[in-house]
Amino acid sequence: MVLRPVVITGVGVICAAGRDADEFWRSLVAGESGISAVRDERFAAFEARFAGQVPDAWIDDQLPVAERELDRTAKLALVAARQSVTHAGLGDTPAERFGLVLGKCQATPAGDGAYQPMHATADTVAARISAAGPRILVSTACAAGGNAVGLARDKILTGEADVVLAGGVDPLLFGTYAGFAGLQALSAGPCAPYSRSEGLNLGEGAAFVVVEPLDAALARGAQPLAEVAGYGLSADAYHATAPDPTGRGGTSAVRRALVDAGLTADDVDYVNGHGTGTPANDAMEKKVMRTVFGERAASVPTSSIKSFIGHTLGAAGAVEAVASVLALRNGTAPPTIGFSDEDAATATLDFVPNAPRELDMDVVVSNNYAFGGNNASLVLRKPGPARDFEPLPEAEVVVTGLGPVLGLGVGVDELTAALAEGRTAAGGHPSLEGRTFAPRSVWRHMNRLSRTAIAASRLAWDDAGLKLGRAGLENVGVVFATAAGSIESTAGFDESVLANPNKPAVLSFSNVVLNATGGAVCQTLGLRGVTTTICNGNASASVALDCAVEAVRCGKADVVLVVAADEVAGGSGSVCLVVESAAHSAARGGVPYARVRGSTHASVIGAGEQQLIEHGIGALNARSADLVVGSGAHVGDESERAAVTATMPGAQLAGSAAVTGDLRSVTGALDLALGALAIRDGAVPDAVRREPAAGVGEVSVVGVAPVSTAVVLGSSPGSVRGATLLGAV
Amino acid sequence: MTQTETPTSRLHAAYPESTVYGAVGDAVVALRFSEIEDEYDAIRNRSAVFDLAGTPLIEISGSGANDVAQRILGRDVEFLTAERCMTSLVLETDGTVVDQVEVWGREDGLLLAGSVGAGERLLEHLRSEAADRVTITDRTGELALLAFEGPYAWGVVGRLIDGELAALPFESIVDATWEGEDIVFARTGSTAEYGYKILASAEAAEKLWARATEEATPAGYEALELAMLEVRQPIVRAEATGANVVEMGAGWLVDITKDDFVGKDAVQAAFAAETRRTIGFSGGSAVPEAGTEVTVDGEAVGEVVHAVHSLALGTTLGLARIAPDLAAAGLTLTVGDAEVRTLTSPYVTPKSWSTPII
Repeated sequence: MVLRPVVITGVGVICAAGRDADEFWRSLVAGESGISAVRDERFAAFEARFAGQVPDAWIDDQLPVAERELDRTAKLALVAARQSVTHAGLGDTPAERFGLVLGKCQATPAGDGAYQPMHATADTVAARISAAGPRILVSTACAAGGNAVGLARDKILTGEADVVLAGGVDPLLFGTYAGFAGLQALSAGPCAPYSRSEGLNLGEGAAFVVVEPLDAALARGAQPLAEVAGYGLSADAYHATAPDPTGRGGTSAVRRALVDAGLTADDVDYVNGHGTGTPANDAMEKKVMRTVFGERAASVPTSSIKSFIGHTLGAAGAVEAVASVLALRNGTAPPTIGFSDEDAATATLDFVPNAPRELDMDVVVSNNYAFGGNNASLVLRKPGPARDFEPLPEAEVVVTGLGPVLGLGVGVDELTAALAEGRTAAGGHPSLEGRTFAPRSVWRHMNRLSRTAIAASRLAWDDAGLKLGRAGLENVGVVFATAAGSIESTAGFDESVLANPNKPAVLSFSNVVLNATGGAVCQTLGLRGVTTTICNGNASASVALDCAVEAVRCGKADVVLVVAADEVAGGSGSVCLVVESAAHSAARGGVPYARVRGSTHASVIGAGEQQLIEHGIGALNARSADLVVGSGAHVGDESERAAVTATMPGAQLAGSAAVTGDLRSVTGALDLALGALAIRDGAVPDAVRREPAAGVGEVSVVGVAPVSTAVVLGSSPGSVRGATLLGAV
Repeated sequence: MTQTETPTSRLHAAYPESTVYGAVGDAVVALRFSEIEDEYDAIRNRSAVFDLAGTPLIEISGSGANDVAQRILGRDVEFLTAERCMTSLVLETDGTVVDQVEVWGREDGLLLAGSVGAGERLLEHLRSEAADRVTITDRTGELALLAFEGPYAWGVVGRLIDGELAALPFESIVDATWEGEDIVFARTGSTAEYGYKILASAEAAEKLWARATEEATPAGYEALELAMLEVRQPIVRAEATGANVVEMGAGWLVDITKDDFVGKDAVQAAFAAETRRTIGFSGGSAVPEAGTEVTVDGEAVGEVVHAVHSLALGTTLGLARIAPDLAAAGLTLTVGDAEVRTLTSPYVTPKSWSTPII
């Protein structure tokens, strides 16, 4: 099957090796490193003090005065985003057809020890470039940038957007530096990936690519720079921070990306490697190369541009995607610098040591590996002429298992009983006392968020009646949804750094990355399929469900766990939904709760949120749905209340926030679960129908008229509004 | 053994003529193939291959397999997947050790690999504890178990089987094929060097043994037990008699946080009691018999459990079971006529700890 070719038509980058794409490329081919001694005096606390820093002037000189007061993350992102949009020559793309997928690893400090919402950077950028289409914040740590480019391709293939800006950003933050120092992962001098491999340098920067369909790009007279031929995601399911030494996860990601692109390992001309410079990463990557390319491994040029700019974390995959595009355009493989003559002579693979190499290349693979065991591989190739293509196949997708882990109850039976009794529980922590859902030796070292997410995943798995052998587990995906990750671990780590930056709580540090909990789920359940982490506030779960459905539609998975978990003041919880192709469910005798009939997401720029919600309901033809599960109607979301009143005046209205209080991403997932429960089992709380309410209200169960369709509204007010239509199977 | 006893291994026809056999429990195994010094050196400095004939291989299958295993085994196997293995004790209700087993997760249950020569008692115990929905199958006769140990065993695995398997995470299992034969490959061992095990049909094992002995030094049971003792890996037949789990120092092979398992009450009682403890010692030229009195200033404080001549230390290495307040490293005790010094384990530092897989 030939899918619609998707191409990159613009690139933008700012990092230690250059303030824009031209300067960046010149540095790479000149072998000029951007890594230098850290200028910030606070970093004198550490023995290792080299990093890839971006001079302030490079940023501010590219921003209007009014934007120079923004935080550094937003400024870096804006600079690169605008460069790419300008480079692509984007003109009058309708805002609602212009999407944004941003990869980011670190939460942005908001002062006083607090953090901005993860998606705030995406909102800032989108508002300034008028992107009101799908908006995704992906946070798969150091694989986020590459992951973002892949997700952008999906949004083009599903037809949800005409153009998507995809990229990554991360600044150099003191706490993160302390964490890596505590892990003994930093190199005392400039890093030397693939040669001395003594450790990494951290870096900062941002990069974006403009992604659009080849036919549309040609039609508007744009110059396609590279085709995003495919991408592959995988989970190591091995360790929180260390890569699986066998390279199984990395190998799966490359192979999946090549299958997605319809290519084989023999077609690959150049690999832009992850190449952090740590012994564990570099050894693992060599294994991946040998496994994927076999006897060809030594003759496939592979280089790491982290030797120039350090590890830019969430930006890394995007910066490397830009480098890969430029390598394709210029017919030159950038070098890996830092090799001594002896290192170069004894290298077992071709790491393009120290000097660039002219190379007639058609296919480039860019690899990224991350904390949490997330791996992402992109396949880019020279764009060809327009070609015939087939639409992305429709695939019937069903929800076959639910795993609620809440203060209100643990498991479907307890949740249903609570709903039947009209009980509520604002916040609170789920009681997992005396129960383990993982080997005890692992369980006792886990933080609260991982425990609740693993419990939810196991309960959902059992609820779905899934029994898969080892081969089946290799292809089960996990899409983790969270607004803020583990507050417990973040606070613990921050406190330790504040007390003594040379004695950070390294166990907590490994759980600070937003995808850590998803990684723990994969590790505990032995799941190695496609995996990603979505951080769109309360809309995270509905966006994650979209990603899961796309994975099934694209044939990348038959089963995907959508796992939402979050902590709030005084409460925590997790809800998992098993999302499965209807054919797979039927073949094993599954009993689905509901079918996912459609979904839509749009993003907020300024006012008009009510109209966005109304538009979403209309786009799904959901006005006659039997039930509305409103995400925020019970906690003062007037836009949603007004939109529902206007479009669906006769529908029954429910919402989990009335039952549990606002649990962020978990509220969104629980809303989806309630819609599914209502359809299959007829259990639904009739929560304060359209009466203003500021919090948890009185709840009663309507022995409702049978519900055959439910529209579930997912919202992250001020950022993303979504709607998902569930129907009876 | 006497020369009239038949070796347990089906591979014995391929053993060299110099092979010395001996009885280990109910098995007759190769104690050494040539000189123990060479075999031991292979374990600690190169790579050795073992024919673990006589290891009971018992399958627990059926829908209730995991529940039964969770009750029978001292450690927590509730979440053991088909790609992991672990080591556990199997206890009687009174806390007596039945055996130490390696538990291999399988798609339809578990496979237990017990101690060499201990199959009869283990099988009898498992059958007595089995329940409905569980089938206990003795597969010892149809399968063979080979092992590689040594700081460069990974290289042998790479040349012989698959280089990618050499770096498998510890206690991982992979179903693989070797020359068209189905095998189960595990990263696990007992000498603290790089260790791997291969479970294969008896026919495949013959071919594999022939190839393996070209790449690694065949080593016998004497060298294996010596290397195990040096890193304080329990040798059940030598250490379990008349001792509870705590006295053995094998508390790490049970998990008292589990809801329940056969023998748990006895183990908890042993933990609460002021029981004797086992400590390693070295010194002296003679190897004392098990049961030899251990004294301090002429006062009896315990007895020898097990002792051998350590090639690495060049002296006697043994275990003594003594009063708990003396079970600490660095003390001087008297064993028979010899002064010995108590040790902290491991008693020999494995070379693999400083040898990377490349």
